[in-house]
Amino acid sequence: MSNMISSEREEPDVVAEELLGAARTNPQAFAAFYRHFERALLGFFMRATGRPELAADLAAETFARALESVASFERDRGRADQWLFGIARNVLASSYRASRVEAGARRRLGLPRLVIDDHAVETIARLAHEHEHEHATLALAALPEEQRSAIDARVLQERDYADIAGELSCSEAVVRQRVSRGLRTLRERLVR
Amino acid sequence: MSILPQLERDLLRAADRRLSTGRPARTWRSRRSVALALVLAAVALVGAGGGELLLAPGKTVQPAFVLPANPAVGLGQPRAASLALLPLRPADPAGGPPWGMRVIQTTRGLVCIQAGRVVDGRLGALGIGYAFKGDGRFHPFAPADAISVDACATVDRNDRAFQPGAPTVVTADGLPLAGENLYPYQRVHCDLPDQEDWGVRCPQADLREVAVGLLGPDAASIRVNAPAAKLVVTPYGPDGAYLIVLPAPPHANTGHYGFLGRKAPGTPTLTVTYRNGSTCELPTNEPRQQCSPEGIERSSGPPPSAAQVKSAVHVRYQARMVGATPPLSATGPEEQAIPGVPKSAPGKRAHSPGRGRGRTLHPGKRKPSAGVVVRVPVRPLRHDGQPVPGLLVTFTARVGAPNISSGYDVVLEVHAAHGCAAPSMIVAQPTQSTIAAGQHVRFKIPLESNCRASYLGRVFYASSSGRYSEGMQSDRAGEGPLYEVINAGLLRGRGVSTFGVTVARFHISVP
Repeated sequence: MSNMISSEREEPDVVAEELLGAARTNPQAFAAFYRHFERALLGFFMRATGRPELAADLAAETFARALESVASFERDRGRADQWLFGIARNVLASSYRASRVEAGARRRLGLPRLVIDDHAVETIARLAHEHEHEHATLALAALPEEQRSAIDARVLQERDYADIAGELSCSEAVVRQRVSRGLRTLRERLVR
Repeated sequence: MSILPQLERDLLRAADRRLSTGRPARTWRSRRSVALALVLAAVALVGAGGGELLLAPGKTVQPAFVLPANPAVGLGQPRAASLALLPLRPADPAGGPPWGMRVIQTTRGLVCIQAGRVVDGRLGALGIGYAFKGDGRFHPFAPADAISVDACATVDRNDRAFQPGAPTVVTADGLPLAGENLYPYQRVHCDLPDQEDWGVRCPQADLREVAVGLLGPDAASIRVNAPAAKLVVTPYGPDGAYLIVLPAPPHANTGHYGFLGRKAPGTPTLTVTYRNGSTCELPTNEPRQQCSPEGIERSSGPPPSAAQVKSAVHVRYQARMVGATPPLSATGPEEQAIPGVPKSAPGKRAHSPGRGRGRTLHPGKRKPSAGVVVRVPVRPLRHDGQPVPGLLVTFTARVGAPNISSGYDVVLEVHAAHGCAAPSMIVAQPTQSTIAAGQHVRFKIPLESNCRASYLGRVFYASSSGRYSEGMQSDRAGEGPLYEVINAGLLRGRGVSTFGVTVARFHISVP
């Protein structure tokens, strides 16, 4: 699932970039690209708006814009997930400015109105929390080892600083500093 | 299995269509741009000899899609007379070419603002910073860069439009103001507040606070209140045009994490005073302080009467219709939302997120969806070029539909056999071209079902007004894009049977 998280910048998502490259000549590749990012994008919009219907509408417009722009994607200028979520943020920001979800790309592409059922609404609603957890797990995993170990021991296992310091062969102050830095980094990555 | 299989299918079909039809157009455009570049190069040589050009010309900024060649279709073509720049030339805080703007009007009645830097009398972007890899060249804008469904206004009966723009942080190259019709990669390559996510901070010195818009003929003055500047600007001409360029406020380069839906610290406020003494502010979240179109007619004129539009309609069922246009909407049996009664009726409910004016966003607010709840049979749509059962509806228009804000449409109420997975209402796409009085009009409507059913149909004339993409700034009935006005109108009260001006009603049963 790591390839579904947009804001981490550690590893490029090779699959997504290959799909995007192939989508220039193969419509099925774009459909696969859609499936690849569908949950992540819906989760992103669900967290932003709190409304599954809006999340679906915003995701539809984002993918439509992505399809329009697929020929212009260049791997050496950015990653596929950054590219897609850049479009997503544009769609969200401009929709906020206009107080309505934009539909320009869908109209240009002739996409019919999107109709979603209860099951999809419930699934999308759950995505917000699902991805919060994934997001946090991934963000924690992406921390430097010393910070991750310190947070794991202190926050998740609720051990004493002295105990952790003894295990890591360092002072309590160092452990506190690692926990503090690690949590600050997590906050920066998780809070938008 | 995806969560939204319909969207996946629709995207696949759209990708297929683009591959089969879109590429030649882009290739042609590429060739044309090469030719244009050669012409520009020749002009540059002449210009350089005369010492007029400040920067060598680079590639023209190309729009993301090609406007239809027929000026009577879709968004239309830009009117030549509207391509000249307005005489507004605010200086850039760091010097260099001044800023400028033009108000592009299309043959279908759209008004689109385009702003940027001005070199040798042309509007464009500078290849500085991240723009065009900092090639140091001047990149002229194409008029079509600005023509899009999301960023243009519609003209009133006096060919005026209202399009107030709040101060926005943009890069000094001018590229963000080319228009909405650009590929994301042709925009900015560093993070603007609330916008891009390139993971690259724009240098603070590369940012400007720019306000550009149209306030109408009755706007008398604009007072600019910024931490670093306090000045009064007089709107220009009958459109009340303005273009204000200021240094960006401190920390404007905090990027997309910054101020989504909120006003950034240091954002200037524009106080507009109209000739009648009323004032408004840009930006504002206070509804009473929002600017309204003083001096602008919101409508393009009174609607025609039923007697004027009445016409004989011919309807024919085709079991294998080719070229049917996917409907604007196809929905199930309606349940009116009843205040105080939870919408928890048994059965499979469906939600139509893109349903007209119900589809709104409120920064900082989260409200449950409201309005009409619809039941929709969940089943695949079939609009992949294969023959489908459909209705061919034809008639002679007695009244013209002169622009993008007017047109004809058809709504079908479906009465299908019990147990049949058919929608209960189908709304055809409204006409999307200029229609003259006396012109023959044809709809090819897919029926979305193989069921035996009877259809009560109504052909009607509809019009809209106001900003083309206007949302909650104006929530009055009849304002906004025509398709949204139609959708909202049909779903409101007894709108299915009364919205618009009825051309004719019909009834047909299909085997």
